[in-house]
Amino acid sequence: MFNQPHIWTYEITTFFYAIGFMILVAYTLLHRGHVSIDLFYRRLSLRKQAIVTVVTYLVFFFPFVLILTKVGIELATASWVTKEVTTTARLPIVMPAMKTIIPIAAMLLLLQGMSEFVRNLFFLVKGRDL
Amino acid sequence: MIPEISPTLMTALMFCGLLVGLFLGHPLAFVLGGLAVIFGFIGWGPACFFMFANRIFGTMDNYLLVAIPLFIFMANLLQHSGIADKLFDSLRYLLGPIRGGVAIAVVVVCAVFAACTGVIGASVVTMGLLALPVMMKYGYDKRLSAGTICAGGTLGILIPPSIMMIVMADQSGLSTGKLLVGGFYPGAILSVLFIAYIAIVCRRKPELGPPLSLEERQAVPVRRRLTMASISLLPPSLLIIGVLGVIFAGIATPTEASGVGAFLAFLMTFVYRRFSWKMFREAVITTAGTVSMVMIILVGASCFTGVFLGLGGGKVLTELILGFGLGKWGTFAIMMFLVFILGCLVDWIGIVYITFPIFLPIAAQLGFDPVWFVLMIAVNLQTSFLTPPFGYALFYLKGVASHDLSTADIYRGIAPFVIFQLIGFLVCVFTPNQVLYLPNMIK
Repeated sequence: MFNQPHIWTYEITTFFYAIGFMILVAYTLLHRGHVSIDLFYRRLSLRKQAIVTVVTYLVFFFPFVLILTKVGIELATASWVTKEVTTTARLPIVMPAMKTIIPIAAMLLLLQGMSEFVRNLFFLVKGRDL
Repeated sequence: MIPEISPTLMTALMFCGLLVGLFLGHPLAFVLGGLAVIFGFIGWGPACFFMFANRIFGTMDNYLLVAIPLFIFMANLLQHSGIADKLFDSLRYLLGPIRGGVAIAVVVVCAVFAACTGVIGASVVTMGLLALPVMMKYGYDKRLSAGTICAGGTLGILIPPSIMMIVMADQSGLSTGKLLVGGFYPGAILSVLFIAYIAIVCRRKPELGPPLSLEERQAVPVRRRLTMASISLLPPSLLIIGVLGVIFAGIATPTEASGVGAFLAFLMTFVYRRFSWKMFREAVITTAGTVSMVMIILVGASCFTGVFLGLGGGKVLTELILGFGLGKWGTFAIMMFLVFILGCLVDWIGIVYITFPIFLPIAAQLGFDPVWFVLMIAVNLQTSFLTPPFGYALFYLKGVASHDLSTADIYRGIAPFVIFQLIGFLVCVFTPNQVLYLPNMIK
């Protein structure tokens, strides 16, 4: 069984693995599952925490995720248009479909990031939780 | 246009940015990704952004890395299966009469669990929930208990299977099988050192780890303890043969073996009568969280490294390291020291991505065996799970421990174990032939 792999099983496995982790990134952000150093952050007042969150989201998070969305869309479009296949006998739509995951995951992540950002900005401006 | 910035300044700024972002409490993955965008834009222009998409696609379209979610899923199933409960219970009675026996039992269970799983989270969480209350009940010192659990748990990622070795194999292009099997020897050395430390410190100060009371010892006769221990060792042994056996015998690739392992772990939940849809659901959700956390760091780190190397950061660091002119072993010491320091601040994935493209060519130039060198980084990175502020084991233990265990207790508890990890590291440095004995048996 192990010595006779079908190329399609290999492709399907990789495909599901890729969908899985990419789409879940936003979900993990929702549940604060991404590791960070909260050594100093934790000691700040709630207001300062909100300021730091807003600033770090603007500096790090949004540029990265926006760029991913943009180049992801371009990469996926190019792949669909040229009906991209590789020499390793891929199933017809696997390549474009996999590349489409990048912008989808990035957009989901962007939405979840905005939710986080708006929540902190609201707290900063109005002084209470949204 | 912005004036030309020298690669040296750029390198320094990128590392400063990394430190600032991390200490502001932003998630590591997005700090790495954000810095890649900022510095890529400044030093290179928007053209570099396509590299990000390609690098991400490289992470997605990677059959070797498929093993990571499967190994994590396997670990989560095992955590719920109760495989460790039975083993710990029996070993606790077996080793209990010795001073510090329960702590030694924790290390032994962790080592066995490590040979079944490829992550540290499952071991630390399992032992934190299972062993910590028991150790508190028997009057063990809470610092010693916390340190033992964290240190024992880190064995999970050194002793094969190991998701760290898989990422390292992917990044270095070395044989996955060789790196995996290479984890046995350092893992054994560290386990023995941990046990020795516990035994010695509890012999000197019995109040740190008192032996079981006489009544409890008499409740279970020695004969029964031995049979209990043997029976509870059987299922993990089957699992180890099922996963590691097939890899080392060359029957299956690590990815295929990880699938077999996850399936066997799934069967174990039935064997131990722990299966329920609620448990299964929980295992799937925890796996989803851990996998996406690990994978997005891979994505962020690969973008960061792409920009870092593209802007000449690799050359700057190489010149800096070789510029000390300290010869073969001096240079080795500097590289290992950098890995150790980075280990306090960044997680292992970031370190592997940043250091491998720079250190491996230097090591090759100096004539070090590549497999040995990568294994030395792996052993060195064991400390990164324990050293604050960025230590996974600390996060996991804090997550499951009761409130009377403070962060300061955990930090003080792990300190001696970090020292013993460094001693273990030195042992491996001075016994290269033993380290390479098992890897060289694999063709």
